[in-house]
Amino acid sequence: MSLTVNNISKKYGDFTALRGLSFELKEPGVYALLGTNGAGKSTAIRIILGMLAKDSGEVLYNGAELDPIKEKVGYLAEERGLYPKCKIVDQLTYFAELRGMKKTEITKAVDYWFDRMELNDYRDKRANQLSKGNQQKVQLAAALIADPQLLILDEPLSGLDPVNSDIFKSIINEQIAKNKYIIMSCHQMPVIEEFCSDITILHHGEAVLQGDLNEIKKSYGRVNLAVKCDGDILPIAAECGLEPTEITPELVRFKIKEEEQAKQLLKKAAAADMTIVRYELREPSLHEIFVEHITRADNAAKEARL
Amino acid sequence: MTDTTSERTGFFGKYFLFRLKSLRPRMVMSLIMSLLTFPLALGSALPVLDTLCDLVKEQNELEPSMLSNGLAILTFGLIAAAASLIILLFMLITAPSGSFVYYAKKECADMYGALPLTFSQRFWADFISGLGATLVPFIICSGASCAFVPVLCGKNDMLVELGFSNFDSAKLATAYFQVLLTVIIALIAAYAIATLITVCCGSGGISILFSFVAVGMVPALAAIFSNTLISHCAGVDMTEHCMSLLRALPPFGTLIADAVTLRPTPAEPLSLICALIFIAAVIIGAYFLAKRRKAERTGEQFVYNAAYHIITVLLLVGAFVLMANIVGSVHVSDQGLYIGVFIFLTAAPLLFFELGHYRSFKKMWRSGIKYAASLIGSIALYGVLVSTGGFGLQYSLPNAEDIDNVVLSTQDSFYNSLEARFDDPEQIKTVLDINYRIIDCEAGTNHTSYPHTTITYTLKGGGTLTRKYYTYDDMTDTLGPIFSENKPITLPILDKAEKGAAYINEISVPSEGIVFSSIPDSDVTKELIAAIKEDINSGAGGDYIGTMTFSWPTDIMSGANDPTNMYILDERISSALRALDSRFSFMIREGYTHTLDAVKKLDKDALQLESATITYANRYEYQSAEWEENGYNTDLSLDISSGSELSDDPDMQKLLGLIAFYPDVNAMTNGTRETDNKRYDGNTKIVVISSYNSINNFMYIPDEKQEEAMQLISSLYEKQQKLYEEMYS
Repeated sequence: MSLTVNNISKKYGDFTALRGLSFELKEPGVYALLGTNGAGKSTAIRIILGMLAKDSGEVLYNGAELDPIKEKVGYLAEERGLYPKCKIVDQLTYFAELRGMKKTEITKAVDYWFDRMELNDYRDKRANQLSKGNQQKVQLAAALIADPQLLILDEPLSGLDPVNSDIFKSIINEQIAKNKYIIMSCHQMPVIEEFCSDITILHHGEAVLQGDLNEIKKSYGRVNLAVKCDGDILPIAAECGLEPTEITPELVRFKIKEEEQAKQLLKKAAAADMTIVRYELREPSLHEIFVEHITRADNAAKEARL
Repeated sequence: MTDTTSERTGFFGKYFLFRLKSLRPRMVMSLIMSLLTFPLALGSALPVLDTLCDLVKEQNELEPSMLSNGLAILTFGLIAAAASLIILLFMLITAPSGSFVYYAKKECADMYGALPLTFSQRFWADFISGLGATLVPFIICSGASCAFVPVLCGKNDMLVELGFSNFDSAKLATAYFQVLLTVIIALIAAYAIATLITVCCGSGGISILFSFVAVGMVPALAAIFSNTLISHCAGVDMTEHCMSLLRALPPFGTLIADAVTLRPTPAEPLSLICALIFIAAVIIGAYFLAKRRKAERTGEQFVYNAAYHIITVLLLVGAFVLMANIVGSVHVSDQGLYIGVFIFLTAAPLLFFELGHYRSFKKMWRSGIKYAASLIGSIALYGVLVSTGGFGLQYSLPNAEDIDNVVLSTQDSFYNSLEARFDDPEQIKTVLDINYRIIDCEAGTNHTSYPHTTITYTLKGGGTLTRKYYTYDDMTDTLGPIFSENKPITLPILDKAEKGAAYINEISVPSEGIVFSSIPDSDVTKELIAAIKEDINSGAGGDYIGTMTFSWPTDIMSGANDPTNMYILDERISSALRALDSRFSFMIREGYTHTLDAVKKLDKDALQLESATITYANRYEYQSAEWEENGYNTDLSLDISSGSELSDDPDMQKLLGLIAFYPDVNAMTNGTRETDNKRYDGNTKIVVISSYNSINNFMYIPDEKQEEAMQLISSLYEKQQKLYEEMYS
């Protein structure tokens, strides 16, 4: 299976929501769409699902234009859109029927998902009687009930408490284990780092960074150094040309330009007979990469205007 | 992984059933309202008819109070039915905003958009489920209420046998089904229009608001434009043609016409077909607009701005045309005020809506252009309507060869009327020619007076066309030659009087000294009517010299066995229960020699004085319209029976010889009228009332002969007293 998004663009009047977005899902896993608010993530998702007409480009599924009605695609929308006055057991059953499941399968699946989502106490409640978090769980169940191969999750963890977040994460892991193809749009960087292999960062409708997350991080190199020792490390760091970015009782953090600086610091600390309690050298976080790219893009845009 | 076509068809069914299930509360509400419409209305008529049948069978006399309970039930039933129907209409107008909620809410758009349904499947399922949830209960309940119809027909038949009503049971049943069909079509039309508006709007509140505006606008514009069209066509009767125009615009137009006239009349089949085509066009338009709709515009006020502009412009044009109608009918000095009020009433709401639409004052210049263009366009449209006589409608007359017969009647300001029917092709052409000449004179006339000339064409195809002209000139002279060609003249009131359903209430020919009131004698009436007919058929004319007034009662009791009875239970029942006294005046012309001879003979017979009362009338001051003393009294009364000694007394003969001046009795009693330019100033004191065969003849003694008359009366009175003394001694 493969999903290919080729050069899709979308304008709302004079405003360009998407400009030439392309990406591909070749292997099972989670593909992340990141971006600031209004970057075009939801627009891209709606174009893939056929809910919005694209101005140009194509969305290919296994080499052919994607027909979301024919192909079973599970979709978790960002907003709550359940039928407010219908019981959730009826709604879940209905969604399962619409996905072509047989009655016996439906009963089993509905029971399974009510258990999995810990919603058994709410089976006969109407949707408008549930909290937003519980509605979100019902919508996720509706997206997964037919066991789709392609899953699109738009802000799946927004508004969830830690317990429900864990439930969602475990479900996503299960889907990954089942070799599903998942597109996830999310603001929470730790979540992306936890699940996603490939990312696209969107800013003002354009992709400012795309690729495998690990490789992106590697390309930055290990530039974050965190040190804790029993003495004052700052003078030694200054000798190495390092300025601290964060000083806490626990740690001192430095941004290094190359690993050699980190090694020098370690040598000099050892030479000064200081005990290193903690020494951590790692790649930048996704959050840092994200902020850096967005800032760079904004600065470039400002310079272009000037 | 992929679905087959049959599976997708099944998905449509599942979606449709699920949507219908989610509309259960609406269906229950609709069922309750539906039971309160036709079933309640028909059911509430049963007690009235039951009571009526029983009363008529058992009693001859009928008092309105006997039906008060039944009428109260019927009135309640009709009001509740009308209110419930209006609620159902509101439900249908608001239904699309619920069925197509995803057009207004983005979160629903995502949810619905992700369902494995094609656009067509989703649209039709939502459309049909929304319509069905409200309409199906109504159709079921109204269909079930058909069980009442045979019962009502049976009771109606009973009344017809009793001579009580001329309302056909078959017509009753047909009228019911036709009204029901029209109502159903109207409800579907309202839903279709509301769906179209919902598709064009992106906000729930706006779609509901403009749905009401659009649905209400259709019949309102139909009424305004049909009224405007007709009011500027000389000869085209406002009410009749407005109603017929409205009936040609079903379903709303038909319902308005039925509600105004309280008389269900079916729309023409062709008009109904046109209405269905219109509805189909609206639905298909909604479908294709929904298909092209941009999902990203969900939440905006109007997805298709053209819909907003079309609605607001049509509202403005309708308002301006209405303004032109009203302003044209008021006094010139008041026109400025009306125009100012209308400008305010149209500009203020437009400003409100435009501000809400544009959300900014910067684009309001467009609103100004729209307003000005609508105003200018409306004035231009109105001007064209007026100058062309309703786009030539007033000149729309049938061709002579298409006419089977024509009835021409004319009536002057004294309600004197002549009527004739023509079958001869040459005379039909003559009447057509007169019609065109009347149109040329009538074009632009302000229709404020009673119609004087009515021409009704019966076509060979079976239809009729009527034109009524408010001619100021007395058309009897113009039409005299046609009437005098030995063609039979019909005057419905004369036929009525001949059959005894009307009586002559008063005859007054002052120049001949004749004033009679109340001639109930049927033989006398027939003689008079025969004389009138002879004069009319002879084409006699001349000045008006007198009046003959007919009256007929229209209460149920007297009409129970009257074949010419005109009141009918299918009119407003309350008015049918009131005793009405209708009057019809016929002017006697100088040339009506047969009529005058018959009246004079009656007058001469009256002077036989079967009995006579001579009494004083008080002095009447015309200028101040006051009596000197309190009205008419009988200070002195002299009873003279025919055949008595005094009837041949010379003093009596002299007294009768003094009677030469016969003012209008009404002027004497209420001092409000002037006849033949004679005024009743002075000292008219003596009124002679003779009665013969119950005919009261008012005779008066001229002022200059009062003294002599008083002396004769005194002498006669003394003689009578002596006779009484001799009689009783």
